[in-house]
Amino acid sequence: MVKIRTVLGDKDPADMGHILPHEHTFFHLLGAPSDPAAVFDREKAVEEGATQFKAIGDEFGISGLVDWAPYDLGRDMGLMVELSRVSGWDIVACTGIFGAWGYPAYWEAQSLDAIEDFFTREIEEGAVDEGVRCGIIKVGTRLQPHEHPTAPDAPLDQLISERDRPVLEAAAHVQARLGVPIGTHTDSHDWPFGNVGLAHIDTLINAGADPEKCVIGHVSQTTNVGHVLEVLERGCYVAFDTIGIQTVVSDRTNAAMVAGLLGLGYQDRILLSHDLYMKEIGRPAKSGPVAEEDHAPDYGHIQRTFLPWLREAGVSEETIHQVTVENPKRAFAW
Amino acid sequence: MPKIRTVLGDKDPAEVGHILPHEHTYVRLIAAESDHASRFDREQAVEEGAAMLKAVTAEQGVSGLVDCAPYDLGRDMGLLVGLSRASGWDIVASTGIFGAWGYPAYWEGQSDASIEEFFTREIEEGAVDEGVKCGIIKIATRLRPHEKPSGFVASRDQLLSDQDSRVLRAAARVQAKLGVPITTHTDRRDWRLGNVGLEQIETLITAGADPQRCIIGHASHTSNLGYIIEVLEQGCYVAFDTIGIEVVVTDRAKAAMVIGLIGLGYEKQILLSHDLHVKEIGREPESGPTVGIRFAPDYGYIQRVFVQWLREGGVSEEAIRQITVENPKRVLAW
Repeated sequence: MVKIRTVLGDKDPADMGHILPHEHTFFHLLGAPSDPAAVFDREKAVEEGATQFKAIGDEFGISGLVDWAPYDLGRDMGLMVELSRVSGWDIVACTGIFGAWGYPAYWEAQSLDAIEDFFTREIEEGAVDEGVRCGIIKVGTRLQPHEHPTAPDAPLDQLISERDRPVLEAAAHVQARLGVPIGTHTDSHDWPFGNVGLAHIDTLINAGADPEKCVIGHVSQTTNVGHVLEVLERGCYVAFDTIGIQTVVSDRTNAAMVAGLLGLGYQDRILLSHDLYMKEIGRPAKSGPVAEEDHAPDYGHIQRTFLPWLREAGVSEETIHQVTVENPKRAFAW
Repeated sequence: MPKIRTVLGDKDPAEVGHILPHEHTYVRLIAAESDHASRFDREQAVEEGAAMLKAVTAEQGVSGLVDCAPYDLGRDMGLLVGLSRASGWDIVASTGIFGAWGYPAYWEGQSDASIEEFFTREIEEGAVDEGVKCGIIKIATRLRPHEKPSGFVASRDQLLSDQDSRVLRAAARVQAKLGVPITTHTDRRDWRLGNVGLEQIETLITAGADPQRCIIGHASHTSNLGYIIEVLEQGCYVAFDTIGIEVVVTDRAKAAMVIGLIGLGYEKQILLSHDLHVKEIGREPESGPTVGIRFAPDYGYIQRVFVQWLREGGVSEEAIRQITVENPKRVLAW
């Protein structure tokens, strides 16, 4: 029987409700724990987080999320376990390597075998941190500025760096053995150079992954519907998972794309999420990832604002239920 | 009265013996602690380390070291305190940012003021990790492959990256405020492009550092004696601190350089050390800066082998004592 692996143990998908497929809770960049200004009250953080979850649960019926922070994005198993216990939300933790905002030097120097062993152990035995088991593999790619192609419509092999490609392949190998789902981060800076989502899914499939167990993330950071269609044609999930972050693509544009793709019959392959977090540990950065104020106001933003636009566009309640409730449960079960 | 700040507290330099000015104890790359294969028995690690150190004391009289690993090179204050207690060695811990083998993303995104405050707090209040205070600021510079100019010689403004320069300047400003010494890592690959040591010391001085409180490290990774004299002429210390590592310059060549420089009267500015470690946490890397590097067999190698060559070269016992015992004490006291 298939299960969804949460931080509190494996669950039957039938026992689960509405899970947001790509969010964060607490995260930090590598090195943040060294900062005295990054010290925080853990109990209070859990309490505040659980209060937020419960309010969203009461108002919109949402009851869980997948936290897409692997170790190098500050995954903190102790906090997630507590948050899940106190709020009652199902939380799925991820293994993997993010790497897009600073690479974990240790893993950069390790062999593909060692990386596969790392992912496998975090899934089967649990992370070193608290022994909690992971339910998906998250991998990210991002071209460094000096790696950028010199023109748009670059060949797919120029869209993934030589450092990131082996990590995608390692994830595919582990999936081929265990069946665990894979979720990817495509970078908003890379989409202008070509179809980085297609580069992801083709790399994964060529390394042995099953497209039906792969989620290509952040397709909501391109306005190129043609690129998204090409990715969908591979049979994988695509995630419009930055709803509320309008620095690259507006929510209205994303709604139009989603409505259009639903019209074409892709309702069993689309996921919606916010890529939101509760708390970034440490001082705000002078430069770096998306600023807090540029995110959705809370985990209910899709229900409150985005779905009404889909309804106006004629999307049925059944399809909305399919996209928001059934698809995440199917995508993350293995 | 000046003090040397060790992990067990401040000490009067008069009560401190022979301290090796640039070593390591337990090191790890960023994120190594996420690997199951990195787990180790801490008590046993301290015991074995202490046995190594005590053997060297018995044979060579060495009784302390500066551990040049800041947080991002795996500094572990609990282990350092344990090792110091068990061995009787004086150990000075470093604040700072290494970054040469993978940058801590959090600090890369922080302002100059935050970085200065971080160094200051690690020196004055102690590190987040165990509250142990640091006695020196360690800074590294290294050009990434894509930052290297083509050709054999770089212009001076190409030898330090913007990120590395701003961290050097932050260290200089903290020194100007507190008086704490600064020690640097010059990268062996960068010496081939130009006098990176000179660039470092001039950047430090321009930002307010006192050259007599600065150590330009890894000068022993160039065989360009002209470069080293230019650095010495700035009034700072120069560390031949890779004795036993012959990947770029042989130990015999280093001995010849040291003999020559002592002959020219620089004996008060020269430091000797091994850049050795007790234990690297985690699996053997497949690639990266330490692969294939052989180190000195133990912390007594300089006394046992290198200093003999200096004696053969006519260096007096007084000068040997000056460079091995007096110079480290003088530069570490503030």
